[in-house]
Amino acid sequence: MNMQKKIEQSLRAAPKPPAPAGLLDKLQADISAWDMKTQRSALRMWFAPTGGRFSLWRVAAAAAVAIVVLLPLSYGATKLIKRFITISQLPAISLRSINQGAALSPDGKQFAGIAGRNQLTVIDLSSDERRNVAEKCTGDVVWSADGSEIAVYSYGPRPALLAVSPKTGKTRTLMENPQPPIYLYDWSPDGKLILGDRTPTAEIVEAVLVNLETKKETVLAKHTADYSLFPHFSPKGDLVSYVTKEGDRYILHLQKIDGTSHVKYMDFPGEIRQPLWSPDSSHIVFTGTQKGFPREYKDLWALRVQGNQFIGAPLPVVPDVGQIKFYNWSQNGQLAYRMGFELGGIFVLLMDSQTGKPTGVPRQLVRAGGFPMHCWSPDGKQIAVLRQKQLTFVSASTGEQIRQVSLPEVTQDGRGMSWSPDGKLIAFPGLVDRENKTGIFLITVESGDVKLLVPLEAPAYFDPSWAPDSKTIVYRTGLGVIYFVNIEDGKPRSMNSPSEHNEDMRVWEQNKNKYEEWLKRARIRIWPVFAPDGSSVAYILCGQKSGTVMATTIDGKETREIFQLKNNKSVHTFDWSPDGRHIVFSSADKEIWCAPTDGSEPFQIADISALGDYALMPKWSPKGDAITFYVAHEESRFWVMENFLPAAEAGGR
Amino acid sequence: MGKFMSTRIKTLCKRVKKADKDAACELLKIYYEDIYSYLRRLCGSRHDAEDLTQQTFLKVWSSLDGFTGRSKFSTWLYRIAHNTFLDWLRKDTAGVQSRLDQWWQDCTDQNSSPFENLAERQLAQCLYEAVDRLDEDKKHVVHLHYYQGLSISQTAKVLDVATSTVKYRLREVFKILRVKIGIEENGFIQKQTIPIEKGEAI
Repeated sequence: MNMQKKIEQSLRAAPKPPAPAGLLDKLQADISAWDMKTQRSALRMWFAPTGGRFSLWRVAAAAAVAIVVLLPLSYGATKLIKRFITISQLPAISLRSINQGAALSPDGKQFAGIAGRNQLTVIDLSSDERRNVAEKCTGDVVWSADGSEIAVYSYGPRPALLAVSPKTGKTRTLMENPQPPIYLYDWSPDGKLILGDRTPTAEIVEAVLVNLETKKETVLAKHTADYSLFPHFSPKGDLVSYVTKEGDRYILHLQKIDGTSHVKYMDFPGEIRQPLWSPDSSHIVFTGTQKGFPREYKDLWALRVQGNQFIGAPLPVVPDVGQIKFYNWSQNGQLAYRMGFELGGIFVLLMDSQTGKPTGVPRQLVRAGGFPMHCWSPDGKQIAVLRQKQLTFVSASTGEQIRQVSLPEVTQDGRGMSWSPDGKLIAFPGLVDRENKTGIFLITVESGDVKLLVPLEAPAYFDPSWAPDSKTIVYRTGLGVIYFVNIEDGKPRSMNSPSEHNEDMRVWEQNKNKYEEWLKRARIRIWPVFAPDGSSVAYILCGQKSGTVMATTIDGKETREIFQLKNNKSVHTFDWSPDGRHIVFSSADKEIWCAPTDGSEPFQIADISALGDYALMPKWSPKGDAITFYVAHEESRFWVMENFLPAAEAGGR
Repeated sequence: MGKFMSTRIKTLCKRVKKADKDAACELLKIYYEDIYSYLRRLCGSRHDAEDLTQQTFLKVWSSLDGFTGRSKFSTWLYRIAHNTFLDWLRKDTAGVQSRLDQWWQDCTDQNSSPFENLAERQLAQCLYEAVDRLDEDKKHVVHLHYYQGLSISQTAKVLDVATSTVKYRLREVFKILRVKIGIEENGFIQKQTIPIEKGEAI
């Protein structure tokens, strides 16, 4: 018997609480005491007051009242009712298998997206049936206006933009080998134009309009690659909207596709994302994120559109929408969207410090989503957790919050966090919003003061780790080069010998626009961690040997392999045990392993499949009796929302 | 429920509408134990469950005129019981402290246990506690569908949600129950579980 049946059987067979003696008597007494009159309906009493036949005069009077009073009233009531937002849950579906670009069909009956091995997958919402209709696809997918085809970028063997039938899987080529690849955002209602974005260089993203008949490409806007432009057609297909960012200002653009008109809305005091047209073209709604204290506020806004002009200013229509993601706004006014729920957090696993083996099972210590960083206090009594501008100190044994420090100006930007062995400072990679500076920051534990130690360029996976003397921090740059920095003078120096360092820089300069080539040729070292005795730094060697952990002495003269995983497994993040005899590491998303540093075989110590989606950043407690790690676990719910546009304006719809 | 029973319930309802107290007593005898056990499990105390059962049936008698027969009488009755419980829950600021009350302890007691063996009793105990810690939406689905034996569609009507929502919640329930009781497909092997504090939803 399988497990579900066993559970069902046990639930069905669960005993029932017996009704106490005397209850029936009490309930029967209620019946006796209650005056049970035969009730006549109010209508019947009105039409036949004597209890006999209906009075014709009364029927005629009721008809007159209905025509003169009730009908206009009900019309007003309908309008009034329409002012209330309706929110309802979509059928239960799981999009866990969909990695990229989930899109809801125009009729709201199917989802399409890119699944695990890059197949274009269609999910039927009523039956939960899934079928793969195309291979080697990537990016977002878009449905044709009639739902008969799905457009997607296919990367091989002949790269092309394809139109795929969700029913039969039959494909036709919309555009051969677009260079660089175009990732789709929208498909015009007549099927002749597409909107997408592409990255001609690693730093730039372009919103591009492509005429599928003439193959003419029009670049609508360019931007640094850290922001999406969200290009979309209006429902009639005569206009496009998109967003750009200039300095701190987000600008919503409205442009005719023939280029004859272009207007901008520039006054929104926050970040604009996911602009979407209402089905009648009367509004563009978007999520607007505004800075606040102690957190940001993300609401749904609507900006009226008439012809090719914006009318007035945006109005907030739904407050605090959080992690909303839009899918589709159907012709009948239903906006389908997803809300995410973060259930993961920091887990603790008790360990035997002698053997490096667990003595219990993982237990959730702190619930925290959004990729929090964490580290142990040197006395092993507290754990600091940094997420969403809040640094929280919790008890390492119970997870109970001890203290919270608000860091409104600081965004964590990168990963890794380390508490100095003297207990005074915490180092983490971050970004100061006001100054737009990224780098390694130091927080003074006692006061919560933050200062920038080393300014560094993004992308910022800086992975800082303290030396045992609390004077030096080791980190790595985006190029995978390891540096030491002294906290007194803030001056970094490379761990590698000068010749190695120069070679690393030369390979980068030669290949910085050819990412794949650089990856092949570069020696990328990530996640450096000081050995407990401070004599060496261990790190993961990336590239072809990403399952290898090496250690180099701090003078850079001697390097040795600590272990190498077999079967193409890779090491994601790791930590030394305090006695230096073991290294704990995360691998294969859901596994935590331990490797003895004497060359013995690594062994698995936990599988978090039942707890979440992936585990990262294991940290060994200072006493060696436990490890902590972060488990990501998100769940989604799918909803539709109606009647949320402003009432006065909805009247014009 | 057989066709005969269903016809009989309809007839009883018609008679109650015509102020037939005997019919009301008969209807009461058919359902009061089920309603009591449903409410007892939910509210966790004998005294409160008795009160709620009483309130439920008072509402039934006073609103039976509004029962049009479009759904089963039992569905309508459970809906009233469910709403009565929700009203009580809202008013009772102390909330439900513990639902592991005496009757359950009596059931799981070795001497008077309805369970055949130790493993079965342990599983039932685990499930009872795990269901007790589910969030409210999921818990109601388990109570109505499994403990009270209502069909999916009846459960949906009682909770005023779509049948697909009930199915979805049941699927979620199984996911959670699997994790919480740490059972593997191939046997009863204690696996890694998330220790959940009482009352905390996963």
